[in-house]
Amino acid sequence: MTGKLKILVVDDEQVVLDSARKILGSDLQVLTAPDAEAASQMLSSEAPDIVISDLVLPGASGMRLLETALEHDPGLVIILTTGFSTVENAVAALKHGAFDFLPKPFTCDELLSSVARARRAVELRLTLGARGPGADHRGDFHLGVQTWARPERDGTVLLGVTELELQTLDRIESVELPEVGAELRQGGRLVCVLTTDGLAHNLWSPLGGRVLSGNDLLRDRPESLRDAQNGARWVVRIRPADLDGELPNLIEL
Amino acid sequence: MTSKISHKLIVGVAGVAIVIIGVFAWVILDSQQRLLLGDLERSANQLSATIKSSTRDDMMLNRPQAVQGIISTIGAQEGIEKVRIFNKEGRIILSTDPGDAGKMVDKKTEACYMCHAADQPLERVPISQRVRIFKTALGVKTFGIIDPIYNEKGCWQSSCHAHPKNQTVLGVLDITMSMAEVERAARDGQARLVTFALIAVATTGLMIYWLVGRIVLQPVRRIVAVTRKVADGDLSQKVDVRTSDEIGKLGESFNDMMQKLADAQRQLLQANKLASVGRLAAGVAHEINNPLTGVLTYSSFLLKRAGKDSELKEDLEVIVRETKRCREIVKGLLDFSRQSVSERRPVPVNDIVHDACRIVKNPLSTQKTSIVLKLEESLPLIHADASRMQQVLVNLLVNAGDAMPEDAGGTITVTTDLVENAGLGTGPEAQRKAVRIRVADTGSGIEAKDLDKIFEPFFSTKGTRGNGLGLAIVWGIIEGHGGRLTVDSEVGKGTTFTILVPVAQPPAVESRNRALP
Repeated sequence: MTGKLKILVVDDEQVVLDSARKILGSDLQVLTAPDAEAASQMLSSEAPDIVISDLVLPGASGMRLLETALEHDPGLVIILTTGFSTVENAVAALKHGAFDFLPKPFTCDELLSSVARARRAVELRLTLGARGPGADHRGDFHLGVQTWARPERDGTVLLGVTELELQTLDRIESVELPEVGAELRQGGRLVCVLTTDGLAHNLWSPLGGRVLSGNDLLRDRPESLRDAQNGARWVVRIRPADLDGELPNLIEL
Repeated sequence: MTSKISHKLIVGVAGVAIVIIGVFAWVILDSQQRLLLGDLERSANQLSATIKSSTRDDMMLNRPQAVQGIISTIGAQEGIEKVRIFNKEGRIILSTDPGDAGKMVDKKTEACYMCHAADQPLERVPISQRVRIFKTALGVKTFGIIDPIYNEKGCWQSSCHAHPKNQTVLGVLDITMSMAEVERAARDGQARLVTFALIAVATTGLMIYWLVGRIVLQPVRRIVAVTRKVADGDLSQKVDVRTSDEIGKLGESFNDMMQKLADAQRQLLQANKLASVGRLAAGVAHEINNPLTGVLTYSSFLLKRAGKDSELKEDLEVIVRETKRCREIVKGLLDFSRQSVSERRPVPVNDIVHDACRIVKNPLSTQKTSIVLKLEESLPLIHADASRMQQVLVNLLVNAGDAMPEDAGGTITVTTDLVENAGLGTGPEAQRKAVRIRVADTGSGIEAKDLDKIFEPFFSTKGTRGNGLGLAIVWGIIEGHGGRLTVDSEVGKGTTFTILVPVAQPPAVESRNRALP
């Protein structure tokens, strides 16, 4: 890999394109496209490494763009930006191969943290296709490459962060868990992982439900999130709100 | 329509009255006529007996002039037409009419027919067969009575020997009397009766008219007037129920119906309002998201690059913080517009109450507010989305805590019990049981003028602390459960929110009763 990574930002709002250029311009080569058609041309002419696209675009939906882009280059890392009203679509996009999604409006740091993980994924060539037998648990349900849900016999579900996602993170400084009793939503925030590079990573919940307990080990030893040996990798245990309705949005391993 | 009912009733009642009074009058007239006729009969019989006895001596002594004198005197009395004496052959021997003497009477005429019918010999016949009523040639209705003069010892032994011993009837005394007087009396009676009958029918009709008007038409008119106003859109109208009869009951059930209709309309209105506000919120949120993204990314980027300029940094922090607040508001709006009762299943209501209480326990205890639970055991499961119901309770509990005086705190009492015939939904649904959850606080209360508005979106008494969506969302969730949310409040004493949620079908008994947290 020579020079800077190329990132294509697709949005019909010029201000979003401008801010992305400003924020990301120092480390990445930023290309912008105002609609799906221009984006498609850029994809073939410029071959970007990362794409940030709005889910709602003039011309064609970001979802359509995602599908054609992945057909063209299965290793492409795609981040979708969404309004709150399209969380379901974002969850569906993760199932279809998107790397992450970023709810609008986002801060500079939120954009940077997502892009930082995307860069690491590009460098490590970590995409859906790269998921191997590895440390991931059979029978889990994955939200894209990010988080997993493990239904247990007692009707509760354990939620955790995937091996792939953990590889994109710098050293973990702390893990911000949801409170017991809190109500999670599929595609809503599961945890915020603070890393030593100063970034705060929001990771999205694979399922909705009420938090029954959190993995307290993570408070004292946040790095144990990576620890697969003693089963410390789970984040929270929830009672799912609509397991049957939400499982189909996930990827079953 | 009203005039038709009274007309029908009056025509019907008057018809019945006419028939009844007519039959009654006919019976009375008939018996009156019989009475008059009987009187006439008796007096005629008496008269004929008087004539017979007063002429007997003169007859015995064969003094026709004297007999003639007596019958002429008697016959001159008012009302007596003729007094005649025939012999056995039908020849008129004596008569008050001098022209009649010597004339023969045809035995076939009505005067004779009674006794001479079918050529029967004359015998003693009862009085009823001896009287007759006929019309004279002048058309005067006339009453006649014949009285046979029987043979007796004096007659065949008298010196004149005019009659043989074996003759039974010597002749006949015939008196005819004018019935003009009787007729007049009958006519008078008839006229009086007809007048009475007409007055009775008219009076009955008027009374019915008045009664129908008072008992039926006025109340019906009142109900009709109310229905018109209701049709014009004023659902607050009520029928003034004054009686306990069927019309009173109609009024009551009308009022009941109106109450339910008004409730349903209010709920529908509220639901529509929520839906349209939701759509508006979604639209606004969508439009505002992109410019917000611009503000947030630029300001947070600037903040990152502000370096050591602490004043600039502080200012930028304000911008970022406030923009994030905008983001939360927009998120709240979208949550509100997207609220839905996703999955309802039979759930134990007391568990939800416990969970909700646990969530708010810490913040409430810092407010010096305690929660008292009065939960009925063995409640049936409710058909509900547990997380949504928990959201409702958390919201109500937080509101209750906020309503408490800041320094003193207070008590929140949560009660659950079972309500039969909760009246949720319509038809057989309304018979269903429901679980009632009451959240009562000892806080500041809500002013009456605000009570109607508290479930409206964007109505808030919390100032900047609330977005005015909490109770609207709560209302929407309960509505989505087919339940009902009501509020009672007294300023200075506290507020009680009452939730009714239908029980799950078939009713299953809540098996677990968890200990208080």
